[in-house]
Amino acid sequence: MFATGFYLEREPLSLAQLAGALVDWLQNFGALAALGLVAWCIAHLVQMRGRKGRKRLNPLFIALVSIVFLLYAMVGALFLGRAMGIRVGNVMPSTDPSKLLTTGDWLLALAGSCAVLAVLLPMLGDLGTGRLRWRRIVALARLSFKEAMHRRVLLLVFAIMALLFLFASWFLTSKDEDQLRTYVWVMYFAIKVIFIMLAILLGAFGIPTDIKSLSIHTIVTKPVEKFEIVLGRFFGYCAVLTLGMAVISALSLLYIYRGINEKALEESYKARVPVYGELYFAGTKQKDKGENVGRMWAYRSYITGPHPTTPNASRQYAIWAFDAVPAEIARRDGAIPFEFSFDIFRMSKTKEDEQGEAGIYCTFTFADGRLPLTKISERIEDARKEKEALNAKARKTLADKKALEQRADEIERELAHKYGLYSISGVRVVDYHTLKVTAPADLFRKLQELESESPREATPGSTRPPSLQVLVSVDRDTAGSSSQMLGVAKRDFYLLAAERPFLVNFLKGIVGIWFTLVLILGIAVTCSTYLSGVISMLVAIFLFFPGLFVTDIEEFAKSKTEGGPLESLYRIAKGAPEAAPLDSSPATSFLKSSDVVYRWWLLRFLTVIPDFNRYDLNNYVGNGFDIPWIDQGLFTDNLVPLLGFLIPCAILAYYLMKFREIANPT
Amino acid sequence: MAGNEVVVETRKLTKIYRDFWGRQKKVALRALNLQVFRGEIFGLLGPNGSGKTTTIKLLLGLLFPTDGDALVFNQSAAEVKKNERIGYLPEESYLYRFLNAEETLDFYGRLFKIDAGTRRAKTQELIEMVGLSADKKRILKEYSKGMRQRIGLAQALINDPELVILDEPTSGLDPLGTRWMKDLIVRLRDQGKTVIMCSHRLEDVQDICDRVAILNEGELQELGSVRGLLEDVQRLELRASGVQLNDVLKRDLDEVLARHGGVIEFIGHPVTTLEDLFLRIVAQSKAHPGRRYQPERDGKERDGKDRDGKDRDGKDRDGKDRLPAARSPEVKDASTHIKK
Ligand SMILES: Nc1ncnc2c1ncn2[C@@H]1O[C@H](COP(=O)(O)OP(=O)(O)OP(=O)(O)O)[C@@H](O)[C@H]1O
Ligand SMILES: [Mg+2]
Repeated sequence: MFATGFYLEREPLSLAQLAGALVDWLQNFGALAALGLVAWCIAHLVQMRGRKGRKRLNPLFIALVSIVFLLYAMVGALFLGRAMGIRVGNVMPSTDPSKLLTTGDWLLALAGSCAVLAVLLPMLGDLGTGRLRWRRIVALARLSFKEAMHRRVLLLVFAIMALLFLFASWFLTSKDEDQLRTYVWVMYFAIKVIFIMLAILLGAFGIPTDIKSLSIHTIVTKPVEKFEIVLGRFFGYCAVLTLGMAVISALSLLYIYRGINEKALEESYKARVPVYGELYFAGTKQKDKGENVGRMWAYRSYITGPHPTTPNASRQYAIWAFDAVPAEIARRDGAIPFEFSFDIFRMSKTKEDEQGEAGIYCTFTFADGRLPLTKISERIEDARKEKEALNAKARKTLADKKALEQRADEIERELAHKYGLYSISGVRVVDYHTLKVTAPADLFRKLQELESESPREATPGSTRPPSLQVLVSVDRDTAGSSSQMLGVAKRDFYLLAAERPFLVNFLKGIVGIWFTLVLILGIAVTCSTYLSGVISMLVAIFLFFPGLFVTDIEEFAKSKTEGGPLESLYRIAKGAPEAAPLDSSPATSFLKSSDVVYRWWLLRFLTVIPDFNRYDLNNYVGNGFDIPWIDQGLFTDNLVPLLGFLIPCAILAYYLMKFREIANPT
Repeated sequence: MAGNEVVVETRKLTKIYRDFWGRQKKVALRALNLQVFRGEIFGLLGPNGSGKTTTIKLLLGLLFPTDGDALVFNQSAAEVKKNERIGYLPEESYLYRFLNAEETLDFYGRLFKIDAGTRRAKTQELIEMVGLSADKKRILKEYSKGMRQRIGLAQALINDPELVILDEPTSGLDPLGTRWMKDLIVRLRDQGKTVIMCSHRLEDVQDICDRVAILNEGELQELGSVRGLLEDVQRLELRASGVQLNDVLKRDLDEVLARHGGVIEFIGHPVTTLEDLFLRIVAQSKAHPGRRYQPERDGKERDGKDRDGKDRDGKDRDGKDRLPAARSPEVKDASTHIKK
């Protein structure tokens, strides 16, 4: 689990994607809000049935609700129209965020926004006028905190953690260089499990216990908004969890400082700031895919070296395209470090393998991003020739070995600058071990010069070329066989822009866990405003576990682009075979569109389940990779989604609490 | 003393308890119309399950009416702001058991717009007032029922409320505490506050309430001033002092009444209430430390059973109020002062 190097199951959300994410959010939670409005309308009509209509509703609210229903009706009508073959433009919302938004997208987002607004309106009317008071929320939070302390929940947690630490070294046996990885993985896991249980217990039982013991009666008969009780509980328990986490993190850090070994220190006791390129392949069957080696886990793609029998067959390359290299890099002196950690896949085991030190040799070529592949090979050849000539000349004039080495280095740098290209061969790659190659800074200076001379631009039909490309290919195997393949993934190779301290990164990882706790606490507290303690706990647990697999389920749902329950039913009814295409009639086209809607709803539904995995940052910390603060990091990928869930939770909690008869628990 | 300003009003207030599926479980209150005026002590009476607590909870917004309105200070009971002027002592005073008396009052004080200094002063003042100074650092878990009731009352008064709603304020209190509570309620009224209370101790209600409403099965049975309700114009009561009861006196009185068309129902020495006796004995014991019950001094064990189980007022005594320690429920005492 932790010896596979740094990998991410999905790309973290970036700043550029936030607008799209907002549209998505409006569609999904807007739809939920609309469902809430429907429920409210039904309840309202039932309630008003026997009574004389006295309660005056806000006209703006009524208008918004009408617009919401109108818009959804419109989407439905357009969809029906399309299903019946009328040309109405694309009403199907796209499931791919990178695609352009369709008419359906816009309509749904608009309807969603109106629904959210309609739901927020009474709430803001109630609370927006300064009715919420920090004074009271803090008092209630203090009460919750005191209560938890009185129950000695933290002591219990600390006791469990102490036991874990005591026996940790028993089950924490691993390769030396994996030590910190293992520590971090185990620590984060233990902290997460224990504190999540604590958060669920605290959150789920706080308000229900209050209601059951009737103590809440003395609070709601004070000038306290019911929502303040929810917030007070939430913040109070947040404080409990924060305190607990602070103590545990400090202890964990002590444990790490005390026992870390040399190799692990080198491997992951740091926070690398990587710059990643986009990975694609050349010489393989598909541009964006390497060879499939039949491994279950498809995270990495594979390339092979030239086969001895067909040495002239096209070479396979894994290419990382760096759109932009930080300007600061070009100003540096000396060598620019790149790091990599690849997977080696063996068709047949050799003796070396058994000793665990097998390796294959690779060539790394750093080149101007604008150069096509063929040009690169030519230039490599030119550069090689010139280098040999220059070196020969140097050998004649310089006798001193040291001076000779210096000169060779100079030549290397000059040529890198001249050709906009630098290549090293015979780099030994060992399985899952972080290794380093360097490229002269002169190359990057050259890239910048080129850029200022004529900035890269997108040409019609193709996108803007990258600034730098790095080609990796497998050299001919020393053993003379090409039985080994090199497995690569986007994040396996990167420019090491900086190294930051481990401590801060460790704490960032803890913040990630803290976000998880806050989210699960928010969910538990929200449930507990309406449900009993036990039920709230179960709901929180049942939301949490699928939440761990959201990415996988989503992947699965997205992979199914055909079929659906209706189509299957139809096939069964008709006795049509699985694979045969359906005849095209209005009926089948309706079936198909309905199934599209079904799949789309399934995906939508999934987005409403919080993806808890995104807060698991042990991969970064354990492998020594810096967790970015803002872009693709704590802010965009963690805090924003957290708020995306907490805000609907808060709205739901507000209404559930408001409509709840405190003295009449059902 | 009671002004005409309406503090609490219910209009056709109805509460039907329903289960989750909306099926009717119990009609707890049926079209209740009430008005409570500023500066009065208003009593809600009724047997168990008659809807007293339900009424109070509706007034506090703890329950939502099925129909009709509950208005407090002319605002809907659902309005949170009205709570700034209300103090509420629940039927069973469930406070946070892990807090001590001081922390409890401090916590409830923080829920109001009271500055820290005032809050602290008020806390001490109330603890003093409810007689918990010695126990203010103990957590409520260790408190006895009566002590909890006291701190519950203190909690209800933390904001110096205009309207005090007390659900069975004297339950769980010893006779001393009951008297203290009653005095306090009267004092609250004298300060111009309005008090709504319900209680099963009719004598308490009789002593202090200005007006009462009697509920049964969720319906208002009787409403009016205590004096008006209790005055029995069919009967006449006469008390005299300076004479001993003897046959001649009885005959004479009979004659006089017969002339006016009346008849003696009862004649005998007045009986004090157990409450008075209890209070007197406790006071004496405080004045003379070391005093103890001595059969010789008092001659013999007193065993004056009331013949018909009725006290002077002819009112049925509630059996549960009798102290188990007392062998006889009512003690005849000729030397006692006569209640006014
Ligand atoms: N949550 C509830 N669900 C169903 N019925 C209820 C509920 N609360 C009270 N009731 C019923 O409503 C009726 C009135 O109850 P309420 O508590 O108001 O009586 P009360 O007059 O205060 O009685 P007591 O003197 O025993 O305190 C009772 O019959 C009771 O069973
Ligand atoms: Mg009651």
